[in-house]
Amino acid sequence: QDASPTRESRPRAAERLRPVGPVTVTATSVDWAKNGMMIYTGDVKLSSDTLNLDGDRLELEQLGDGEYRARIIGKPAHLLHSGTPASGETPADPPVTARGRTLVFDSKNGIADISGDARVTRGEDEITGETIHYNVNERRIQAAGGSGGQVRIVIQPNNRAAPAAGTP
Amino acid sequence: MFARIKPWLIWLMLPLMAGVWLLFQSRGMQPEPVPVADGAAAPRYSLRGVKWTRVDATGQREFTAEADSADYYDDESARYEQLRMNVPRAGQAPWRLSSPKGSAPAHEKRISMEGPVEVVGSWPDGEALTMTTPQLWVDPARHLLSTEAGVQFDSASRSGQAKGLKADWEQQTVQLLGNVRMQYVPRKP
Repeated sequence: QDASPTRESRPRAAERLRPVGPVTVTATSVDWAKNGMMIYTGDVKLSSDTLNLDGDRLELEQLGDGEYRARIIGKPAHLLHSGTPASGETPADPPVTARGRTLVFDSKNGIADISGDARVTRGEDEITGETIHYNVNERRIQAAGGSGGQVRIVIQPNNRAAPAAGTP
Repeated sequence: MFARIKPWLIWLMLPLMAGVWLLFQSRGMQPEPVPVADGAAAPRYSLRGVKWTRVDATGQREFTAEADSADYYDDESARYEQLRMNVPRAGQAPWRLSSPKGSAPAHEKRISMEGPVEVVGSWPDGEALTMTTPQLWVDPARHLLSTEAGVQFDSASRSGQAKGLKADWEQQTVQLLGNVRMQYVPRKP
């Protein structure tokens, strides 16, 4: 009977994990036309306190109240969501990385859509497929094969944790 | 012969000199000595408290400007002190530019504002924006504000810097060029 730690409620966990720091974008150049999006090109990096995206081109749409939608294209584009240490009853979360030809992150709903030869890792687990949705706020992953494709997932056994007393 | 004429000559010169002195005093015209660097040409026109409007071939206003002083030279170059310019934009607040110095190269229509130059206007989405740069070109022929001297910008939801800037006030585009760094104000937790 291993006493699994009581889990933090999902909304509270999502709120705690949501990237909120100032968002900094660096690039070689920016182009902005009236009624158009702000387009960053050349060695583009978007970073906030826990989330980093990079690629060749970024289309950034500001949604008001500090929210934004970022569409990054690259060969490939990358995402890194840093892990979190254990705190109180909440266990540690390993970092999540993602890569694909296109990454779209919406800070409002906290979802990152990775498409185009998509690959996501969470710690040592790995998922590949045509399209992968990563809920950044809740650290949950959904994957779809795309037209006839397949999703491949490799989950590393969690054999490093010390076996609780009495469990096989 | 010469000795006898001399007193007569003096009596003639005295009223003439008095007249000239009076003339300058009464008309209050104090001809200011124009500071001219050694070897530099003197300005053809030297104006104080200047206001002017530049229009294009169709009569469309390109900008209005003011300066504490404007010196114009024969080679069509110019120098300004305390230059302020207003560049209109369709459907948006004008670009308001100001700088302690300005100049126009010979035979050219664009104006170089020399810093620190302050630019007040708005981003393409309308958000108010202030920029500062050491130097800025104002080119009415291409409707372009541009610099490669580095620019800092600040507005409510975003601020940052870049090596260069191009802002087309007719197309209403803004390009930031080289080492762009933009910081967005974080969402309220």
